[in-house]
Amino acid sequence: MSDRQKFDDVIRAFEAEIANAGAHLALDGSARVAYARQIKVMADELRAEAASGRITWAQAAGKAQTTRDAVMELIRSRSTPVGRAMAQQIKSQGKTLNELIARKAQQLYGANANFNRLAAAQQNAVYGEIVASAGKSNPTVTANMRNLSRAGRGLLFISLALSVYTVVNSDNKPRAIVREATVTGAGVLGGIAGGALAGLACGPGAPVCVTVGAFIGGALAAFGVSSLW
Amino acid sequence: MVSAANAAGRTLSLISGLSVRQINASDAAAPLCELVRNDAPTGARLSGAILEAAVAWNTCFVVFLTDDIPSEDALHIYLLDANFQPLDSASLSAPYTTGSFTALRLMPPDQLAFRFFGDGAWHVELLTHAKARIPFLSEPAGVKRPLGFSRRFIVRSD
Repeated sequence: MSDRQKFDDVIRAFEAEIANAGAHLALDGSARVAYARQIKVMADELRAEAASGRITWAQAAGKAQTTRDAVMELIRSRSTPVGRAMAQQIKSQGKTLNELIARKAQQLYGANANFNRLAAAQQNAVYGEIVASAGKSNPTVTANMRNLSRAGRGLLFISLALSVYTVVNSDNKPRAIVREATVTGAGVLGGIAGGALAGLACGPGAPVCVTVGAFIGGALAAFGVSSLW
Repeated sequence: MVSAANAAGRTLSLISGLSVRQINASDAAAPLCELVRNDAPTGARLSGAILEAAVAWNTCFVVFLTDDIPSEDALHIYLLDANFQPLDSASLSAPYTTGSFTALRLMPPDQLAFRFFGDGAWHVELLTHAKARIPFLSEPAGVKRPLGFSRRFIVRSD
């Protein structure tokens, strides 16, 4: 392999790494938007069911807790290995349903409120508040993830622009198109595979290790595929 | 009121009489509140919706607030001067992770411990003078601070 070919392979691997980083950010940003939307829909549906009498408010509050946890697990599974590692980095210490009931009762009816001594309508209002709060996601986290998603799409655009430039300046355009697509695709898939492998090696909740794995996986895959051309 | 003083005369004490009044109630924006003392507004606008605890430290105050988002709660810690102007702040939050503020302990002359998220306790060391910090590198995972190169308290995790 000539020095020129080696240089070209390195440049293509760099382009693929841009796409790799962009894809990670865009995927995790999309997963976050889906999470915020799904827990809100879940809470709205439970509220409508309780309001129409199909289920009790107590059942709605219990279901809101379990469904929200299920949605969170589903979204974590849809995130990239890097996003999943970041989400698992710190162990949650949430409140139990009984703790939430006691807290909401005090918020609504004063510091000395005892849920068991409240009227049925007041108890339902407490349950309703729990259902509503289960539909809330942290807006600061969502805004940060939205910004990262935008940055990810920006990186994908840069990668696409570099590929277009390469194809336009190529003598054999059909071959260049296939080469750009396969190298970039390999970079993204290699990044996800590398992150997943690093996650297996380092254990859950190790975002630095998984990010390094995703970077190395993306670089190796892109460089390897580029070398084949 | 729980109070403790050391030989240097520095005191740490849990205080009552402080509360918060929510300023924005929208789900789309981060909760913001105003600190109220004995029903009189202090002018301090802080992130958070629920006042979990307030501690007097010398002439300053340390307040702990949460966002009231059970699935993804954040804890905001503020060090305020005698006029309730923020001297420093830090937030504990992480995506898809929640916490519950419990087990606050006062450790005179200048340390506090509590539990939020994670396996161990969190510690806050209050500083009488600002010390240097390196943005993004000086804090443990889960701790966010405004961009800057100094701090008036240090947050550590077990």
